[in-house]
Amino acid sequence: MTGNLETKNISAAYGNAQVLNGVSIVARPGAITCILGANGAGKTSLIRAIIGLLPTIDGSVELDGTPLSSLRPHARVAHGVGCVPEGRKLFPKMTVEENLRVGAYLMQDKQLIQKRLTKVYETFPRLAERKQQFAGTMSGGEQAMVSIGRALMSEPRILLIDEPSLGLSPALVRDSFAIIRDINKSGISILLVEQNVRQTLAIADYGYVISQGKVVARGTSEELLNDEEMKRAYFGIQ
Amino acid sequence: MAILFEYLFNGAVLGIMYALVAVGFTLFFGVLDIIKFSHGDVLTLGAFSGLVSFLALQSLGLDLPVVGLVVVLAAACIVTGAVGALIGQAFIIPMRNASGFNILLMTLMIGTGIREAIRLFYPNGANPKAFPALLPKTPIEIGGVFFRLDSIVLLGLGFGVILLTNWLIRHTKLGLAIRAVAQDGDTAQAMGIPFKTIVLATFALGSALAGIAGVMHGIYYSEINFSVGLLLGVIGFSAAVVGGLGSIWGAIIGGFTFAALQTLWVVVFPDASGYRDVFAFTAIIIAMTIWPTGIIAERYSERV
Repeated sequence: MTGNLETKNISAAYGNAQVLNGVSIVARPGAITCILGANGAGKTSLIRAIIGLLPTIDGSVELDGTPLSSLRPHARVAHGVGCVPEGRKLFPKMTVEENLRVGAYLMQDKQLIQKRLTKVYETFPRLAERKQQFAGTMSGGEQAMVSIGRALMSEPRILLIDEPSLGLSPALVRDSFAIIRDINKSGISILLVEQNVRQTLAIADYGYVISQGKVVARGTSEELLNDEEMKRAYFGIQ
Repeated sequence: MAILFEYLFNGAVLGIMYALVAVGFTLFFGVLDIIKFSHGDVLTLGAFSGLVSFLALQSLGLDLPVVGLVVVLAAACIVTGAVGALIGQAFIIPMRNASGFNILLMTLMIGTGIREAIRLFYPNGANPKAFPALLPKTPIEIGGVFFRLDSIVLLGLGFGVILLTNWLIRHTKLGLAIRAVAQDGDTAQAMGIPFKTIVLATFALGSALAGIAGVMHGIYYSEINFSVGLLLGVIGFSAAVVGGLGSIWGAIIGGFTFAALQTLWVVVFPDASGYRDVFAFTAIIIAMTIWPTGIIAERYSERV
């Protein structure tokens, strides 16, 4: 099974502000691994460092043993890293179908692209009805579907998902988490970044807790639910 | 009445040239949020490359009517496209995290460098050069109005190029990538789009449009000089800003607006046609105070 993503001791900074401080995590093949932490803990920075948008000053990122650190973001996508960015980040003035086609940019085979499109439309029938609508005019829930669909177009081995619950109603959050579990069951490893602890741990196999750019706790979902360090990172209990 | 139609027609030929220059400014601003002030001088370089390629053809005895035009246009596009991408690669991309003013100043200097190089190194470069009549200037009468055949072909060529550019941006994979980079560069990269390649392709595309405009300008006025791009660059930039920087249709509307203003002045004051640019720029300044974000404001438009 493929989709084994490892970061080894990565550090990164915005100017003088160090946002990641030697973070080592493993997202196992076929599993859902979650990164938990409060606002500003460095979760999104970690995702940006893995995809290559945030330059690392130390450490390495590997996917199935292939080092990614020296590659530009698009080359990392070519190696099988898919991304559902924080806030969904659709191209607002493109149609739903164009957004999905951007996700398949690296694919040359037109028939294969069509096959992937059909599959995304089967997964999200709502998008098939709205393929010519501008993505910027859609509801939050629909945008979430487009963002996930777009990332699936490149047939990733590992999917990085950054705060899928952001700005969604509780019902839609439940739907999103169910979709994430289904994607994982289809054989794609997932690295899920969330603030929403209980729902995330309910679907995740393994998790890390980040605080101030460092991993402060790790373990299976059950272990983390009862972890003192995690409670401290989240609620500031000393 | 007939003379009015002739003015309108000539205004349209100028408008399409300005629009071609303005679309370049809008594309560069779209993908990288920069103003590339070397654009006008890249246009001059295109016109001169066209001239040189024609002289080469002539010396080989191959200056046949259609072949001449095709070769001159191709030479202009190749040289401007390559130089546009080179400026991007060597100067703009390494500086892209610098302040916009630095890039503006830097490209202004690059443009000056190109302009002075043509003046100093092209044989007798300080003087105007006759541009070959690649198209017949035969007058054609339509309903009592006379049109020059070369102007009709230039107008058609300009519209053809604009429509082709629009098709490229709207309906090809390269266009999809250009729009993605324009709307959100980081996310485009995270979806697998090679950012640098697309930015350089956009620079090449926009610059090639200026090359075509340079050749059209040469054919239309039958001469070129080393500073032809200076005014055309400023006009193209004004047109892009008036139309709403970042919008292709805005740039086209802006180009025609500028030409319409010039034409309006010449129609009303035929004896003072030398003041047409003064009038057009004054009108643009007033328009900018009324619509500071341009005719097609970015929030209403589809960026690039």
